[in-house]
Amino acid sequence: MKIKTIEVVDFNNIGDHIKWVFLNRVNKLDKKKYPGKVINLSFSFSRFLKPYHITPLACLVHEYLASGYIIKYKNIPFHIQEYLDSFHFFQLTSNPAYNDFPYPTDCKTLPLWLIDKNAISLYPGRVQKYYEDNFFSDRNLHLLSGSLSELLNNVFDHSNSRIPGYTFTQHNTTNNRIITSVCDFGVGIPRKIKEFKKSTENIILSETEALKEAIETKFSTKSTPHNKGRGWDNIVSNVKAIRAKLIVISNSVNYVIFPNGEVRMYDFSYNFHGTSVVITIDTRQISYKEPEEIDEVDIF
Amino acid sequence: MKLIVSDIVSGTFSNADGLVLKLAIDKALADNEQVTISFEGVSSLSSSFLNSSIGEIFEQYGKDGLQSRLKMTNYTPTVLNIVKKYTSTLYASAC
Repeated sequence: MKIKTIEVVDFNNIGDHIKWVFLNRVNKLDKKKYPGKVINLSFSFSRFLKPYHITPLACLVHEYLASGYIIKYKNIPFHIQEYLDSFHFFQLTSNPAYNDFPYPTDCKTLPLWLIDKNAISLYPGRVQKYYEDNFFSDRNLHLLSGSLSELLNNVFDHSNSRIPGYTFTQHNTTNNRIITSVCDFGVGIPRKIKEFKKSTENIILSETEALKEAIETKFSTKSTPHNKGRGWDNIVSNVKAIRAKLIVISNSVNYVIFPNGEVRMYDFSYNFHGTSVVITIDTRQISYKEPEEIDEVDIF
Repeated sequence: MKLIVSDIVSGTFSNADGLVLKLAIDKALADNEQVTISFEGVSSLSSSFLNSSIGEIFEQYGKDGLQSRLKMTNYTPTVLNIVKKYTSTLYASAC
């Protein structure tokens, strides 16, 4: 019986990466050609996997597992095996419901986390504490935890994904960068907003216009009663405050905020069914810890 | 009366934790003329947490019902900014 092999590639080009995800989703599998419920995941072309490769890969594996497939890992170079082991990749993908991991073996990398209610409450604070404790004792990573909390809430409240999303954060000490990635295989932001605008106001937007509206205005589809459309505003403010880079990939659109504040949007020919967000922080831009004020002020 | 956020909730990022704080504020306001929320040890708050806590309290009591009754202490400048930015958007949306 012929078994489908998915080659995991460490793409540097976003368009190629999106195409790879698109072509390897469960719904694209030729079930006549590959009737067995087994997928080989080969790492022979992987050299330098980054968080933005890991989170879509975790979603992909989870999607196959949820569809009843067995994943067989093949051709894993030693350094990739070591890297994947450092954040318990195999444990998570072989048992998607289990989310409470010990600290990783590599102090620069936090375990891959599945996005559930528990993760929303714990993960952002844990990321902040972990990197402050290990690397930045006099710095305050609240902008990272704040952004992550907004992204995780977005996945949980809006993505309508049949499988959970994943988040992963890594510190690269050689180039002073923290990269955090959040990915889901949900409906996608542009598509969700397009449908909402069409059904409520009979306005037809392009995917580019829809993503721009989501990120640049306080827009809410009111997916839950608590939503008020302030999440993206906070993320963008945080990103700009520390001159970080934000990359949002959703459906066929790529929205980027560069460290100098410049915004660019790109279209893809392939649809990323879901949303992938990557924030890259230059750790030298992280502000110092702030003292607490003890005087009382009115909230309203 | 003083409510210490970190004693009431395990995190300040989720709707669920925000709702727990909202219930604590609501109970404290029912029993006291003035309630002070301490943000000791808190360095960030998500919009979901604020929507479910401060936002819900605002919807329930209104600005007039909360003025001078709800205060905050032990806050970092960042937390103060987040809360003030949030309450200003509440005023804007209420107008």
